[in-house]
Amino acid sequence: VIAETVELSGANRERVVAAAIDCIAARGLRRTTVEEIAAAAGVSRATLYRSFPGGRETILGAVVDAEIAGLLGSLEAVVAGAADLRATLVAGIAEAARFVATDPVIEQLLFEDPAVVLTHLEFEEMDRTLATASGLLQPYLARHLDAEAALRAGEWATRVVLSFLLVPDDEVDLLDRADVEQLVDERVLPGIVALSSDR
Amino acid sequence: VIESKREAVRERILEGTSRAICAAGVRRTSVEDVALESGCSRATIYRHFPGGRDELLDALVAFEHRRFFVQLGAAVADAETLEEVMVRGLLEAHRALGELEVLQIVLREQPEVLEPSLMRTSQSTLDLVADFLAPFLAKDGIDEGPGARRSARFLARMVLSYISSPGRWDLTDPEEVRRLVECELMASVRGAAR
Repeated sequence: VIAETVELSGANRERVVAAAIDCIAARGLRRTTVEEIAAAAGVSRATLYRSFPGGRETILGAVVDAEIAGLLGSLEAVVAGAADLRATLVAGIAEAARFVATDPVIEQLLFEDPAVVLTHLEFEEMDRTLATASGLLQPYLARHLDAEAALRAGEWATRVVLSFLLVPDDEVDLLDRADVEQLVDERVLPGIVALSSDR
Repeated sequence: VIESKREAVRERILEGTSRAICAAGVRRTSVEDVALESGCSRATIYRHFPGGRDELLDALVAFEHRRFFVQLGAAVADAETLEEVMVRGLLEAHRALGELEVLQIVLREQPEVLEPSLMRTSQSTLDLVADFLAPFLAKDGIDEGPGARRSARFLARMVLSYISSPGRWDLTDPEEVRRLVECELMASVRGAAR
């Protein structure tokens, strides 16, 4: 019975998060209330608060987690088909930038309530994000590097991307393929090559 | 003179805010506590920080942030090379950040105070660190001009990334920091210089 309850509350959580994403994409972050999210998810307020005792803020935290998972999933899809290390990095960085620029929820979050996103990208939380991203990229980078170097390379590339996404640069536009290639050739690849040959 | 006196009072109030938070936490610190700790009247505090408690917290984060980088710069300014300044800077920044008790408390209790302020200051911090590193790049023979400027800004981005989140790197271990600086950071500007 306990397992069943846990499973049910997991399913409720997923429904609430999916509903929250729809509401935010349609109406914006500020105008999305807990009541609307509950209605869109087809659950009662009581059920919603059982899954998310912290209310709106914890729902938003789960939305950010879901968005990061979505971004990593789409990254995985593009790097899986890349032929060599350079192509893996160029495709991955370009896709991360495209996802952030076109995803309606990330845009809403960054525009209306950057603190919700940034708490995931500073200090210990950022360490967790780096670990998740480098773990996910490792098998693809390990096609071209040894296992340890692949983990380090994934972290290095993730740092570069997050830095340019969070603090944009006038001269580097990650939505521009040529800029991404230049960044990879000048900065990202030299760091990876030097590290993996330092044995 | 008036301006510097004003600054001194602001600083005294913010130091008091910091002590009050370290003693009682963010939520239990009131303007009265700050008045007591700083030896200023409530009226003086409101004259300098009309927004009261919220403005104090915001100003405190900006103040500690700035002080952190000023002290970091002073601690490593006598380094001879770009490599040395980054190795010593990362070791020192990691150590100093761990000791910045008030920031840890704010981060734990009320991270939402910290984030908007970090967001606002991130571009200016990047400029600050890039300006600091630029002469070391020049000394290291990496060409001056726009190329060196881009390299300094890139290094500043990455240094800031490691300071706030070490990831897989152990920033208490000088050998590991040296490897990080040599193989990632230095490589990333040598690549550009070619």
